[in-house]
Amino acid sequence: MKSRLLSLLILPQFIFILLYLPGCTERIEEQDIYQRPDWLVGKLVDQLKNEEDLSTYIACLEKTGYDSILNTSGSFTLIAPTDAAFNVFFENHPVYNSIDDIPTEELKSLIEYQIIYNAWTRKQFQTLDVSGWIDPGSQSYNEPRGFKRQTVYRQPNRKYPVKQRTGYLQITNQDDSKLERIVYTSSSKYAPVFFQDYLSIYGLDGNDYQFYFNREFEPGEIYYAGAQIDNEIPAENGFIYKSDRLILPLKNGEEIMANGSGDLSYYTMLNMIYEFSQLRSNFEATYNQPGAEQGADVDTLYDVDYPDLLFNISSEINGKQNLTIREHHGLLAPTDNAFETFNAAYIDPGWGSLENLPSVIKSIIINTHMSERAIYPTDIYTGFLNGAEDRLFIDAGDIVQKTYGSNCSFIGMNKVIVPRAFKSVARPVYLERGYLNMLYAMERTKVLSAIKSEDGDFSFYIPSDKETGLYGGDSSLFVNYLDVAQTKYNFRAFDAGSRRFVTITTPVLRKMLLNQIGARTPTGIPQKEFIENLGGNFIVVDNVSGTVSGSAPSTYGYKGSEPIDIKPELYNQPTDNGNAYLVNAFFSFTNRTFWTLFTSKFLKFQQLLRTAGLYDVIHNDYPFLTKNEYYTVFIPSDSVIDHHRLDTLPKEDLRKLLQYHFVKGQLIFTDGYQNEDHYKTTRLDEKSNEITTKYSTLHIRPTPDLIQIIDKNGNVYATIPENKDRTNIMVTIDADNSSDYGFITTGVVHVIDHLLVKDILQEN
Amino acid sequence: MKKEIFYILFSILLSQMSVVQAQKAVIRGKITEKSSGESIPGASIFETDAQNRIIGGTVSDINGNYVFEISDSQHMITVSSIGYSNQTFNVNNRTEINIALEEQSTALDEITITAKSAANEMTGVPQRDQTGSVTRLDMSELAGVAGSSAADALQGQVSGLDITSSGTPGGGSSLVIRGMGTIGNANPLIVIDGIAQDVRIEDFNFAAADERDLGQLLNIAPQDIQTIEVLKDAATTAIWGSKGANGVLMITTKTGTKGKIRFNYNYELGSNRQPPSVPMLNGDEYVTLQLEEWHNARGVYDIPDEIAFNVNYADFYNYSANTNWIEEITRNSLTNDHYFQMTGGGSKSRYLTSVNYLDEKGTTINTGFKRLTTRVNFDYELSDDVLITTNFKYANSLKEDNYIVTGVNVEGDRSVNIREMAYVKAPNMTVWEFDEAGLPTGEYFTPIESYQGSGNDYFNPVAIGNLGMNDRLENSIENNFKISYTPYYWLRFRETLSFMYLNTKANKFLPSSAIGADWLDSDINKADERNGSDIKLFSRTQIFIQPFLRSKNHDLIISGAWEMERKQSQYIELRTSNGPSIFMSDPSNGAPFSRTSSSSQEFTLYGALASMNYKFKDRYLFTFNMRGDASSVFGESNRWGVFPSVSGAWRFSEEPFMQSLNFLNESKLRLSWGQAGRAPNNPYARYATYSTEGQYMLEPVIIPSQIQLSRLRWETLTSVNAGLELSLFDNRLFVTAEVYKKITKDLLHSNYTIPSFTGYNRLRYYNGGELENKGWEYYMQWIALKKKDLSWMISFNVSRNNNSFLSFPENFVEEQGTSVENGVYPIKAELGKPVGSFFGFRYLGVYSTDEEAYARDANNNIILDGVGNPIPVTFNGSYRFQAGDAKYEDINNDGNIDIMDAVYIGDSSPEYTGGFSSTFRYKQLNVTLNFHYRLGFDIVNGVAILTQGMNNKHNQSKAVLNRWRWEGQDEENMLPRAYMDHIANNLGSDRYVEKGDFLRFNSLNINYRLNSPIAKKINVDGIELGFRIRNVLTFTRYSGQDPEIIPRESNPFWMGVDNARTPVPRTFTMTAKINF
Repeated sequence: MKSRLLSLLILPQFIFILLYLPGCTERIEEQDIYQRPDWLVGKLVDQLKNEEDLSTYIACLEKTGYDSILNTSGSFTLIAPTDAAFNVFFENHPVYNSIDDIPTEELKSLIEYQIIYNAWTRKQFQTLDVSGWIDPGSQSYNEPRGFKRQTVYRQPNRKYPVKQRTGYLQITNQDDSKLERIVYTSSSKYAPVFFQDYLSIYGLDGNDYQFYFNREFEPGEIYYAGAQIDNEIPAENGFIYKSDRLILPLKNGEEIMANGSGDLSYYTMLNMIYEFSQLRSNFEATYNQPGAEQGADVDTLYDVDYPDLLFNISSEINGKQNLTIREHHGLLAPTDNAFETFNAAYIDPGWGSLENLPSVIKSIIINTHMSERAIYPTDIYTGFLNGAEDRLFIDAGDIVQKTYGSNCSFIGMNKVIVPRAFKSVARPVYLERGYLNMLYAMERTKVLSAIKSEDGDFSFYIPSDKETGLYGGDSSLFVNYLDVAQTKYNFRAFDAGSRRFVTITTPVLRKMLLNQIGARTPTGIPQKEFIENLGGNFIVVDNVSGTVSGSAPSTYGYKGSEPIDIKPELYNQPTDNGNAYLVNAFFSFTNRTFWTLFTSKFLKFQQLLRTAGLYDVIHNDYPFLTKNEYYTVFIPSDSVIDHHRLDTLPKEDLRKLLQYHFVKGQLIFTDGYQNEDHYKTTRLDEKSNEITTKYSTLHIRPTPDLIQIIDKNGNVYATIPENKDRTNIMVTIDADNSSDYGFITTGVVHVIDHLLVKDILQEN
Repeated sequence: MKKEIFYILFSILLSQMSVVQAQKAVIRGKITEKSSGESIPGASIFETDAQNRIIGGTVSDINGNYVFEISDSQHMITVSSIGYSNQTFNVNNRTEINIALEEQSTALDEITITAKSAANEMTGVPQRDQTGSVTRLDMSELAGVAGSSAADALQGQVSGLDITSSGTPGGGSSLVIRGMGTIGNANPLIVIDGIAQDVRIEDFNFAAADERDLGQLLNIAPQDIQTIEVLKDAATTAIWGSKGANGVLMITTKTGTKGKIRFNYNYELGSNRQPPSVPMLNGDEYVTLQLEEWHNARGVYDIPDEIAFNVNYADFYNYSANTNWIEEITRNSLTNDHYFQMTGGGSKSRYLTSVNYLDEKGTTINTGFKRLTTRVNFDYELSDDVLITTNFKYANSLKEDNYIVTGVNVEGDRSVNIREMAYVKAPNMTVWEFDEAGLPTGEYFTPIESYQGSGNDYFNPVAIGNLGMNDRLENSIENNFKISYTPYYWLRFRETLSFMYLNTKANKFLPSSAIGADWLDSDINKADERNGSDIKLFSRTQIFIQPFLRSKNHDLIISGAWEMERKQSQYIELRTSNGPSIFMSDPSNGAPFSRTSSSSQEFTLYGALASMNYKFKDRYLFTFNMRGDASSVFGESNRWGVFPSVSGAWRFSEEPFMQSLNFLNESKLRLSWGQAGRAPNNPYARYATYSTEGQYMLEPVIIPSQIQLSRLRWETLTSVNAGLELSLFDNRLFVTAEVYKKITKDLLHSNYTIPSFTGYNRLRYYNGGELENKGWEYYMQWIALKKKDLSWMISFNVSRNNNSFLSFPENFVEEQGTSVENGVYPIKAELGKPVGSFFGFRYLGVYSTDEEAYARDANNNIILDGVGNPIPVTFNGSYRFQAGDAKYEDINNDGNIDIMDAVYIGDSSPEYTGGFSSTFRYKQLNVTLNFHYRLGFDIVNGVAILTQGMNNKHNQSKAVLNRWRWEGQDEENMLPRAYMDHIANNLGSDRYVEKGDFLRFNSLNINYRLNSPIAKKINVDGIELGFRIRNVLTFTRYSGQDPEIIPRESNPFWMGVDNARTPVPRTFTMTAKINF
């Protein structure tokens, strides 16, 4: 009884405990969750050792000490050349028979270039863009454009001879320098990875790959630069890919050119590029050198940059670092021999030698040979934009070297690409001495881009430094240097009105230059030609006197009052998009409105407009005229007005009559340049209705030196011969209200001795 | 005010001293030892009147002679001396009386220290006649399991009492009786010697309030405790009224024992070892993981030098280490515990005084706890009618903790202790700084900026631990004075006066050498001092009437009590930053003040109790109590709370018809019903408040910030309890079984959300809703062997509790938090679910491939878009899950994981708690084993959230080695991929909700008492040597460091999260006790 009762009371309690706690572990570190999983393979080198055909590569790792590094930490992708790949390497580099023959530093660089930061699967190699992974299902789907990967290899810092420039140092020839500076290598090398999607996105194909890497591209395969890689082998801290080539570290643009020699020497180009280098001290990198914090004597390290060129040929990083994975520039490098030919044709005649060229012109030459994107054969044939924003086509026969660099594709050429500036009407500015003011003004205002097209027929009237500059000229435009090194400057002029030097702002400067450029070349047929310029005004070419002016008489100096004749001299070298003329002054242009013209010279006509209700007295404006529209106005002479007693006409009739004298949409001069046509006037035609608006028309026949008005029967109703005081009187509007030079010509007035009557001139 | 209190205090002490002074005499004599005839010096000779009241007295001189003048020849003379039996006789006009005293025959080693059958402090009912659910523990029986606090000693010993302990010295424990009966602080009321110990009122943080409550408990030396009674049902707790809703822990300290003076010295030397921590990645593995996180998230990125593993990096040696930060901040520590006790007493007085000094070093560097307590318990029987009792206690404690860096942006803007930082700190960083050549600089490595972030956020935990200061010094005085007067045998009065004073000084200092910050940062040389004081005055007037005291069949005790309690607390805090020196840690160092604050509070409580206890024929027992409390927390209309209770018991073993059952000893059935209450902790909870935040028309404004809560009322707990006590087989088997049900009404919700159109967002408190706890308890004690030299006793207890919400207030917002993001769980309360329930997503593993991440409908068909392409599962309609991402159950099959897919996933309330123990004695050898278990509860493994998410720069545990790495990989229990800032790979889900079940071998105690002859050879009464291991083994499946999690969070709906607090250490202790 007792024992049974005891059992009943006690046993269930221990059973209860035993049921609840089976399998418990006392020590936390022995719990399954914290154990290394069985499936987790070893680290990279351990995994390598499981492969049979990587013995040479493993030996390389051991020799360079990377076996312990890769088996310690980090996350890497190994591009592991097979033993066969090493054999290929030795065949191509007969100086080496084994890895023991390769100097340690070189071997280290070789190995480091086969190690990529981070663990990349095959899929990840092909699904990367600058902003991250490609999500094919995303609405903002982007194509995989990221193709470069960062390797472990980083070059040692490089020492350059330099010379002092204001504010910074510049790389120069060894002969020109007594100084040396160490440029900090800020980034490790990147290596390209090619796959079909990447080529397709840019419209490239296997030939483009083959062009640089001399091997077939097989769709579906992945190529690490020139090596084809196998499937990934996982490791705890990364992946391993067997590759069939040992890839040498790619060189950047500067290294390729610096390594050139003989017929493939690019010294001229490289030296010219170095002139645009800017070295600035990098305090962080300097301080981070071992021992610096403790006050040890360490070298100051510098960064090098090329702000005036399209890209930094010395840098491994293109733009921001993330962009580096997809940006690859293009570099066309003429050999030294090519430059000799080019100089003889273009540079030497004007400047004497390449060394004498101003920097701005050198930068044009260099940027002409640079491309934002890598250049592939497909681009060579379809054309590509260069750094001077010109579309280039190059002849494959001119290519003497092709290399896929680490930051650009490199093509060596036996011909220099002539910049458009040297062939266009701007040629004298860029290739002749004596036009520096215009040269800098054009570079500042970017006017060159407006006149370098091969399709143009420009007439460019170029004032020389001698005539318009500060020393010996009229001081209507000169470069005003703001620092001793002449790297900073603005533009100034001597205002003849206020008799003070004034600063020419860039918008005014641009307008001054554009006013000097006619949109066509003169024909020489009429006595006077009225050529619209790129500034929106008109250049008047007097074929009788041989002078050229703006819409106002030319004067001496900026805003001067002393009259001067401008007799242009046609530039004697070939230009392929018009004519360049050398002139002795800037043109002057009329700046007056219809109101100022009418109230000063045509008061009776003005009074009629007021009577007809076409004049807004309060605003001194003509509401029936649209501000930016072109108008040719035929104003009846005072005698005609008096004769026809126009002031007695009913208001409505007078309004219709006057509006018939305003031709809308055209500026018709007496040079016969416009076509004969029925031109719309501002008079609303009686045939208009609520749906359709029609204007009454005038039949006008412009001829050289004469404008004829044709009646409705086809007979000449009136003739308007060219007359200095009665015809071609131009009016303007203020287009941008920002400067004195913001006006453009929108009207031309001719005095006519007839009254234009619609019933006579136009059929109903 | 303070001075007055001290005057009163010292007056009381002086009065105690004066009553034992001797007076002159006119009779003469000599006191000798009966057996040897040797004179006895120092013997006391008293003259007592008819009421046995001492009129005068003297002591014998060095030769045993005495001279004494008595006032009345009819009075009695009593002679006593320590170690001898008293003698009382009439003078009978004798002038010379020689007295021979007989030596007491009881030897010390034969004394059995058992609790006397004390009466209830409030009702006067003897413990034997209790009708409610009370568990009484005699600390002499727990000596083998005693740790450094009473709470430690209780763990696993009382059914229905769930204790979770902290591993930080002095860090406190959590005590919950019969489940969470409220939403908030569920710690029981602690009463020491009849005085409730809730000194401080804090409302802002429940966690802080807990610490304060328990701090009071901690300031008792365990050796001073005589008994601990755990009152569990409302019938017993109702007499404590407004404070008893969570149960009551009544602690009675030892009093002096009659007899010759005895000394007792205990010494304990303990070695503390922290259990193994979560295995973390080493530096090499961490670097690999970080690179992988960035790579998976971004593809390409700027690889920071700190994780590039680049030997050319200037700081390479500082970032290429394999530092185990947990190990660096962990140490094995020692505990020294000295306890000295002196006790004795004569026929009229008993005294006990003790001094305890504890010096415990924490297992986390630079933590420790020092405590000095002294206690004087003095009882003096002024006469047969009058008993005076005084208790005086002084405690001085210093808690040394690590500096907690605030405002840290590690997991949200909050405070981070060094242990949490040690878990997340990059292990490739070094503790000490190295120069470029790899040579140590002698400084801690505290960079202002590191890979992980600023030096303030990701500080060096070793530097902060060793150099930072966070000390808390407490001085407390408590003096209780009781006088009991019994004018008639059936009538007794008792007056109790109590005074408590607590002064707290908290000092913090963060030197610049400990943290990576620039010189202008406010964390540099930041010094903070907070001084607080708490005063409590308490009085209780009681009357006890026993009209049938001499009746055979009837016994009636009627009692009444009137209490008054008044508390004041105040503090002032000063803080300076950018002090001039790392050696000037005081805020008065001349640096600019960055913070000054102060506060004061007052609180008053009145209480009245009427009690009636009736017993018939010693078999039928009936109790009725009615308690009323008035608290200043409430407004006038709801100030009084009335808490009645009724209970009865049937001592069936005394029935005549049971006498034939020889195996049955005293046993009884109990049944009880009662109510208890709870008031808000904030004494100003009901007041409308105003703040000066914001501006209007560029002018400062005063705006109302809290509504006046005129109808705030008591939270009321109603409890029903049925119990069976069985004593069998000659009292060798004792069994208790209880069934109970508790319903809490008018639950006090703090920070209660209300519609914002009211102009307020929250109410400070709101009454509403019901909460139920029901369960059963079982306790068994079996004396398996009981022989002269051999005994073995085992005990076992288990309790089961079900906790659930029965109703919510009408406008209750069940969704307390709806955020679904990494590491965050939606916080909800649901009817039928317990307090501390967890809600979140169901984690299903990892998407092996992109195709697996396609959304599926209820029929498991892939969902297609308008053009027939499969749609991936999304998170909140934006992020599209991919291969390697965490997979969650799409509950509503809409192809989108959002708040609608969050479900109940567990709770922190244990289903079963309890323990078992075994005490084995063979001759002088005593071996005790104690086990504690907690079953059927869940833990949100906060450490795993921090260390398995792989979505930030934190270090992670070794568990992440089992992570997804490439598409198609599908391994068992594989974790998601490493992905920096992943939006959904670490959501609050059942991935981190783990079963917390554990069985802990709490302690093993081996004691050996030397033979009396040996002890006498070295001139002592007894020597006992022992060895104890605490926290011997823990059996659990929980993957965290320790499943014993204190349910202590600021949000009552969010408890049971493992936030990397210091686990309970394993302690090896040598003990030595000497009695003389």
